[in-house]
Amino acid sequence: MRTRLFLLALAALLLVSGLSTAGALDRNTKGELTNWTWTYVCVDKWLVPAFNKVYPNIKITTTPMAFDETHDKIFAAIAAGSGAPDFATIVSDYVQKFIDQGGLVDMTAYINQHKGQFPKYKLEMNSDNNGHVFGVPFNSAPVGMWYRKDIFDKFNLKLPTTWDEYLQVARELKKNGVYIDSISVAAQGMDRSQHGEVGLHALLTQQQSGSYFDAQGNPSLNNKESKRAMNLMNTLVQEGLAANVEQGAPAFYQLMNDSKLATVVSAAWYINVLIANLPEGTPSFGNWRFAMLPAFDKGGARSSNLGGAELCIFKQTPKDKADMAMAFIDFCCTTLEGCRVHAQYGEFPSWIPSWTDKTVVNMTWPMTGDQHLNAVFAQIEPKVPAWKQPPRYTEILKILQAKMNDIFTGDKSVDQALDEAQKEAQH
Amino acid sequence: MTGKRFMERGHSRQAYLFISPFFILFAVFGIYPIIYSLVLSLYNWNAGRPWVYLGLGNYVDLLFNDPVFWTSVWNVVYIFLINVPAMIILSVIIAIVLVSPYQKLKDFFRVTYLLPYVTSVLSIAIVFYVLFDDSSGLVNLLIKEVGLKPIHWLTSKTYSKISIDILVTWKWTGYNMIIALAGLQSISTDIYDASRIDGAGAVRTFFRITLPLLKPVIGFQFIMATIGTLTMFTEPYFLTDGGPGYSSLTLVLYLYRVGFKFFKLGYGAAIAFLTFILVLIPSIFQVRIWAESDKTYSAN
Repeated sequence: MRTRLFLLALAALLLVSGLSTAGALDRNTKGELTNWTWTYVCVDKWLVPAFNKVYPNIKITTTPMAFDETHDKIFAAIAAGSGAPDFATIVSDYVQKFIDQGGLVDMTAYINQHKGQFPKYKLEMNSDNNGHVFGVPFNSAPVGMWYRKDIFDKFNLKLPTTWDEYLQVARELKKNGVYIDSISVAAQGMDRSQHGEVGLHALLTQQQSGSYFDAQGNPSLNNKESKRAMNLMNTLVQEGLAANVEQGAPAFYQLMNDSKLATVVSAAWYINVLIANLPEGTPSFGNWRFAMLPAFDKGGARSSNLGGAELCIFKQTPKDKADMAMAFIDFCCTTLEGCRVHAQYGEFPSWIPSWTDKTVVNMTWPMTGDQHLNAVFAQIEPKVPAWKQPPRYTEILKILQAKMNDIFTGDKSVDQALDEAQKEAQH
Repeated sequence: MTGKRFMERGHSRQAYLFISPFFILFAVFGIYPIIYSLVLSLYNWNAGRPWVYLGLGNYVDLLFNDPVFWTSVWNVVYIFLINVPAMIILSVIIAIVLVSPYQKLKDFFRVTYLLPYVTSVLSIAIVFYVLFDDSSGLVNLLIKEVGLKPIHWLTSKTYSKISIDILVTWKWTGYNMIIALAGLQSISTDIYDASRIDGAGAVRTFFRITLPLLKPVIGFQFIMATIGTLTMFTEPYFLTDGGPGYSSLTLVLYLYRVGFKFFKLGYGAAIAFLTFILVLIPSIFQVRIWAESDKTYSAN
């Protein structure tokens, strides 16, 4: 009933406010667009139908692709000089690589029309050294601690506000046979799972306003923040507080279903991972909640980011199609209608004006009870520290990932492994 | 020009026309990419900027400054050393059992052994990924059942390559078995009859007749398996993604990572050419042995 009411209200709003979303493009513009994305359902089943209520004659064909495949194929198309779709969703971490390859359309003028409406760190991720912006922030990925309220209540545990408190909670849980989170000793979960161990290390480093690169853009993997993040992860592994299971593996969801996993440190989009893998009737359904990240120091920063996506147009795209693609991007990224549909799907829109929209703020999901998730995300997002991702970012992550295994197996100390990673990164 | 010569030339034109599709396609999709990638390997490539000529810089970097490259070389050699002998020995044994007149349900077994070969490697890798899972995988459940300690098949540096070896051997033994079977069936029964009359036993017959006459077939198996193993990609990509660490990173997986993840196509192309040389060495070695054994047979 609630969903139906929402959809009715949405349809009415779309009819009334259609003109406001039309932008510069005529509403009767006819044409066809192609796009590649790994979030097929979100784009094709939710956003495109909503967009077509405003622009009924623009047909958008969405090709569903795996996360890796999307970016591999975009690279191949840019390298070949042809074959790219008209527009695509690109993960925030990879935009710099594509900017470096010269394949994306400069969107600075559009972004300037919406000054102050996107988080600064997102725009920095999409910008080249001259301040030109090559992607419109689509959704953000503020990070926090997804936790099982029932488990915390059962053992009478308080939500940790610092990582030290988090370790204490973890030790308490361990006594009761429950893991606080999962960290695979193999540290392989970068591409296959939800960003895995290397993603966790990156978000912990970003939380401290650290970076994998120094001011000159040279790799810096053995800095203070990186070491502190790794030491925290290593403590969780060595004390057996985190399960030695790869995120996303069958055993991982088994732990959740057995109520033996109390938290997952991840981003806003994780709600969709929970919904997809823990259907109604499973023990954790309805018991998940979201809290801000514990801080490294009392009263310290509690914001970070993990992933997020941008909408980008390619230089190969013909002008008329680029205009139509821009209309779609405009609808998705800078209209309340687009942001509401996007948010209801379970992604947190990057457009700042949508964060105070009552419809967006009051959204709830059966998986997370009556918690207003978007209100928490909106608290975290403005404070997310900047995060440098030069073109060599993926390479640096792979180097770090390989060294993590040495640390977690006890073969090397944190200092030794990170020094080696630094040496390898400088090659 | 006489009418006959004209006709001959006309015939040869037709012949060239008929065989030309292969050569045109081979030139476009084979020779051109090879030459292009050779050129690419001499440059620092970037789609958005002019390429920077490095000469042999990429090769020097790979050979003298890149420990990951050497790790991946060692990995494929390790996989090769276990996998190729295991696969060939197993395939010959199975073929001999299947060619035996006492073996029943021959067709059933042939199809069964060949099934992994015709099954998509992706499906197999997914099944093995689940089978080898640390805690809930069937293999470890069986190991625990007999009272042994579970093995970290995919998450330990020691076992990651062995897991790949097991998968590859399981998948490709059937294919090699068919080749061995064809080789065995081509050996004339007269030779076996003559040896039996001379009083040779089963073991002697195998080592003195079957194995020497099977040498060219085993040589072929060896070359194909060498190429397949040293250029392996799909199995480690889906099973371990080259990890943990770099423990199961193969040369082609490293090439893919460097080229398509790090966008260093020039460096990736250099890896491809060094891989080619690596594959060439055992192949030349094998062809030489093959040619010499042929000479010995002809001399005899």
